[in-house]
Amino acid sequence: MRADFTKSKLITQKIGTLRVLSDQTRKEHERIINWKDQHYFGNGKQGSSLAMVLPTRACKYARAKHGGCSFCTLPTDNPYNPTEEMIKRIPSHAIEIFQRKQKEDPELRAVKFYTSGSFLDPWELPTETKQELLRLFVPIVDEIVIETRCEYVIKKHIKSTLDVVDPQKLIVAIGQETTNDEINERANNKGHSFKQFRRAVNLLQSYDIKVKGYVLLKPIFVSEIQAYKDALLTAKNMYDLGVTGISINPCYIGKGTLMEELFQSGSYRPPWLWTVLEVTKKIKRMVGEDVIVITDPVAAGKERGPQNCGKCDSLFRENLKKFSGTQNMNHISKIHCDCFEVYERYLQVEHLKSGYGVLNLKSH
Amino acid sequence: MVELLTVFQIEKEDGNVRKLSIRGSSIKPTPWLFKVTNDGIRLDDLSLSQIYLAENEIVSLDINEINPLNEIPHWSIISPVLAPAPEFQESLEFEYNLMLDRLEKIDYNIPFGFIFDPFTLPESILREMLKFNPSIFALRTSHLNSYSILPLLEKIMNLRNLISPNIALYLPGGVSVGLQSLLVALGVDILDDSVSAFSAFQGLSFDDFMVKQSDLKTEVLIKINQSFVDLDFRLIESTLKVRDLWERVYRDMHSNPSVATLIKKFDFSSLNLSKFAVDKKNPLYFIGDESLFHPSVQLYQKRTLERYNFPEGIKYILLVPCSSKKPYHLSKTHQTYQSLINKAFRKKKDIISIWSLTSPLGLVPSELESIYPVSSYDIPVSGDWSELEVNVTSKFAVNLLKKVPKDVKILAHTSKGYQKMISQIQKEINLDVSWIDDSPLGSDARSVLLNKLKVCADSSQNFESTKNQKWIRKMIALLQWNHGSEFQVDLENIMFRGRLPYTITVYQRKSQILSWNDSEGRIKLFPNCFMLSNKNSISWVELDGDELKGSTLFSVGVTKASEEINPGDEVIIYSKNREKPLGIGKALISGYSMNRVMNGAVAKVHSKFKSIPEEVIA
Repeated sequence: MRADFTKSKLITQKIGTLRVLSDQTRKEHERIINWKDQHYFGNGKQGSSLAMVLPTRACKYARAKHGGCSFCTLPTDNPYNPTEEMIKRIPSHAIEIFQRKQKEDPELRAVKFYTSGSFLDPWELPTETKQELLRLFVPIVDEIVIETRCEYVIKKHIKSTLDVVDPQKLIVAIGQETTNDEINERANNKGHSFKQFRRAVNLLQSYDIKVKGYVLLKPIFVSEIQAYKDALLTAKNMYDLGVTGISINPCYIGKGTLMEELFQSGSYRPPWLWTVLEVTKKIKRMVGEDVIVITDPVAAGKERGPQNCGKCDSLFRENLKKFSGTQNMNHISKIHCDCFEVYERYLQVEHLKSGYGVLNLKSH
Repeated sequence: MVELLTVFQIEKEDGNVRKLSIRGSSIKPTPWLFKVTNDGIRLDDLSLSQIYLAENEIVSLDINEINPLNEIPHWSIISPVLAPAPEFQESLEFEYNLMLDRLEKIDYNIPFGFIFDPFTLPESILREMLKFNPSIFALRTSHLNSYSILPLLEKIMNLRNLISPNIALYLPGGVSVGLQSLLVALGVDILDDSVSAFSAFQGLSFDDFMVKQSDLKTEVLIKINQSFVDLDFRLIESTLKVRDLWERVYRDMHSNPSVATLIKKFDFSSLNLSKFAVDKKNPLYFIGDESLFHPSVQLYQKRTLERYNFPEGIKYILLVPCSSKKPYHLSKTHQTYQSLINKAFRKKKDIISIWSLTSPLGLVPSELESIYPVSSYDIPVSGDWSELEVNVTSKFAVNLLKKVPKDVKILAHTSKGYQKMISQIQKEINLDVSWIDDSPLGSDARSVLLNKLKVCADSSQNFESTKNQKWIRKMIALLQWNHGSEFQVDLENIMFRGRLPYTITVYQRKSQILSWNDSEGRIKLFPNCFMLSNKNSISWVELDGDELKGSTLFSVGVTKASEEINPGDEVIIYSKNREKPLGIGKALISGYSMNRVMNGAVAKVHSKFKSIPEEVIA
């Protein structure tokens, strides 16, 4: 055996160091960051949703010595050590915001609770607070989306959630990122295996809870074509498991992450918007009407986000958004730009040439 | 793991440029320019697959195929699963080692390649990869940008020295027009045309083989660039058929500043001169200062210093300007010098030799006038020498003249243009300058030279030229040029038949010992000659058996070869431990490559030694 993974600890050491530094920038606050999105409920029903970042202490996994996921910057949005009282005030604060927004937009019938971590983790959100929050929202929304890591998908947490929410209204989103364990272990530092994901999905399905899988498009150390292929394979594996939604999340450069370090040293480039578009099209064709496919690239067209030539980026951004809100393929099937010819060649050659997405290509 | 020899064999070698072919295949020999389209990376019927070996399956990077592969496809480039950034060296090495561990468990028997990053990976990984006998290395050049090609060239040179010459190097992403010739000259066998699109994306046009900014639309630029990349490559291919690729490189540097910069900065001493062919005939045009470092020039100078022995009996050297007609002695000017020598020295004419001062070769003794490239070059005659030209050529001239015995007098009779060079030489060598002004063959100059020669002749002891003295000197020089300075031929009772410039046959005791084609500057040995002098040649090949079969020598039978052999050199073929001479042939590839290739022909055998004739032994 030539390969010895135990010698390869530098990556997690680096992520851990960066996490400590970024945690130092976190400020204590009670603000709930929120934004409205177009939302597709399935069966042709469209509306809007409100995403809310609840100010919990965020992902526990990211506080481990290994620093958590190599791409994730989300905890920096959250307070580092909110008091018990602050956490207790979250439900009332959240419902107040939602009701205000709902008055402005009667189509607002879905809520997405993000915690920059795991909604089901009682360390972040104690069970009582979680139940209180859900209880407030159940009567006024048709759909509640929560996010969690696989390890918190256990009977105890599911039951305490279902005590207050009808499973038909609940969607549990899991950031599996990829079903390729090697990428998750050695690039994403995700700490999820495909087996764990499968277990979590099966358990949730046994309670009739719908599951949405997150697909991370273009992790670090992965070339464009590899990322493309991995997204397709991951979506297929998720589809085969019976998820009801697939969210394609193209990478963007989050502050204080390993991904940012690599981006700055020229060892990482966010994906092309062409890849986002093509992968979305292929996945949607594969899963058909049964599964909702959404993608809303963060920082699309910006230097730190998925990008094309600069001329067509906004068109891509708008159309991908429209598609996500309507599932109408017309929005993404007829986009043209002459940078496609460049992209096609990039896709074929870049894996051989660099392996992680750098060609110093800047459009004129 | 199935042992598979690298699929390529060297069909032709000249420096790092090798024509690699696949035995029994319709695929044309390298160099190759892959076409990159949405269908993949292709060359006619050959399609390159990209795969990686996952934990329990083979994953193809074909975006239209979702299922894992059952086996490694033909012409796959195998990569590690992940490409950690260079700052994570241990992880990077882990990925490559993991790839090799997994490959070891798979049965395969197909031509394939590896990805290899010469900037980040240690040689130890390369050595491990070589155990798998890849046919191609695709070079990852992750952190390079378009302005840092020079370190890449150095890495390519280094890599070429580490891997077998019949492994192809592929530079994915290609290079712009003008640079392709340099890359091929340095040993890259495969490029691709994706650079057309990437440059177009950055607003760069290759129109008219120049790299310039353009306002044209990307899709238009792609087409323009594509056509020029294709044409540039086709010109390289046609150059390789009939001419010297370095000439094309030098041409390209004059239309592309970045190529010019690279050539000026490139360390030409890193080229392994033993890999350059010596049996070429094509004319060489030495236009600019860069030709001072042309491999053929370097090879001429190296071999002359190492292998040329100053002939016995010569007491005077006359340094004169070179002539445009080659070989020099056929030119009117040199014939005039010779007639003045004949007039002054009469029967003693063989004690003086004409040596030609020239750029970029420096200095050429008359015995070496018919070898390549002395017989085949041309230069612009302006009369002005650059400082670099003076320094480089006079340095060689001084080194060569230092081999001349102290009692030999060196005269110089040149035009004004040689003044700086003569002054430079005079700093270290004692020269008797008879003329260094305009019209060195004007009546005044001729008269000065004749008087000078007469004085020299008068002060010389009587000397009787032996029959064919000049021919013998030339024959020895040419033999030693090929077989080394220690190579000796028994000159007793030798007879020449024929007339220059036609082929001369040389006999000794009624047996033909060699033939001599002066127009090519090559001598072909016959076994009778070789029997008497065999151990002294530095141009030898050793077999693992004691029988020579067929007219082609293949690498599988060769245990060792002298690394002094250049492609085109005559070689003496021996049995194991050089115990018994078996035959004589012509090297198809260098001795360096013979010791490193795993398959293919290495020499053509023209004479086999069957039994030692009694009269030769006697």
